[in-house]
Amino acid sequence: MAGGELLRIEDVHKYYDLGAARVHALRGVSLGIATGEFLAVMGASGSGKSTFMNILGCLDRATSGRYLLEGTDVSTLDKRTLARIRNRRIGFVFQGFNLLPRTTAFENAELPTLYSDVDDGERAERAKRALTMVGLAALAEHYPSQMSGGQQQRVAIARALVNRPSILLADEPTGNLDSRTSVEIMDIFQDLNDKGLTIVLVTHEPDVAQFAKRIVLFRDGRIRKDEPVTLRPRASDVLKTLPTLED
Amino acid sequence: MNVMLVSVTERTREIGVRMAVGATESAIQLQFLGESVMLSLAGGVLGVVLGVGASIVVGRTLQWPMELSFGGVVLAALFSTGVGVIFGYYPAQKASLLDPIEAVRYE
Repeated sequence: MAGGELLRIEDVHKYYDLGAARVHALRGVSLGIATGEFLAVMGASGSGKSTFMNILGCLDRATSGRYLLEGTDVSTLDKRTLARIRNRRIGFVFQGFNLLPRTTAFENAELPTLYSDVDDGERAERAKRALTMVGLAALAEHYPSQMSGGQQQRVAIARALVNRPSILLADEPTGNLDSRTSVEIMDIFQDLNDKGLTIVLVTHEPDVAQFAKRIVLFRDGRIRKDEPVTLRPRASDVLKTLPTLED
Repeated sequence: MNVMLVSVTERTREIGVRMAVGATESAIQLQFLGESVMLSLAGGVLGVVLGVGASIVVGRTLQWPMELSFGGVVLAALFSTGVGVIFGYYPAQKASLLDPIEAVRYE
């Protein structure tokens, strides 16, 4: 599994036309990501990291350059095909959880399968497995309003995993969480990564980024630094040193 | 139509999430059009039930012979479905054209 190239971005540029002004959000970005990697993308706001993530997630297209995902050039595909790729190959985790209210954890987790050719039995099976992977099988019938922020984000991770994607993209997944819960989420990510899942995480918190295996720093639309993480901590070890709610 | 437009605005984030996880524009359009038709049809059914009920009550009290027109019921159902499609189309179209990147961040 590990080692093979999952995706490659080649000399990608992105312009936005805002009235008369033209914003050059990405100025020639090239990057390869191998299967099994755990990448943290860092940078100030306006550095281009969000634009980069949107392109990586097939939510936006580059103005020029190529994006190869598992050998397919996705930079030229139409909207419908991109939606299909997002459905099958990409899992998204957002900062604000973005669960549907008045909808149980189970129904939230199975949402992506509604847009896949999956029968009801398989759908339930997948949602159950995804919730089990994030340790929430017991809360399947709970509504988001009955869950803590950390639990809601775990449901969101289960939703991202339900179609067994090739890559998980997380945009500031710990941005709305306290520090202990953030480490718990990183523990889940490290665990999933150990099982072979490729993860790309956007964060501005160095404490969160250190749990990844590699950190890429964006500035002014370019990659300024690309380094492996030395002395990578295990989130499960860090958790033992943090006070729990009861303390 | 305003009910559906408000619904689209209130559920902007939901639409963004659905698109991000793989809903196509036509899937979003179909969902909102379906909801609009269901809403109108529910109104139509309620209207038929109330109408039949009222005519039975009136018929009994006034001793008028009542006859239910099957055609009338069908016409009411068709009419309310039509209302749903016509006034659901624009909101559904609007929902399907949202940009998922902006929609998931909508406050």
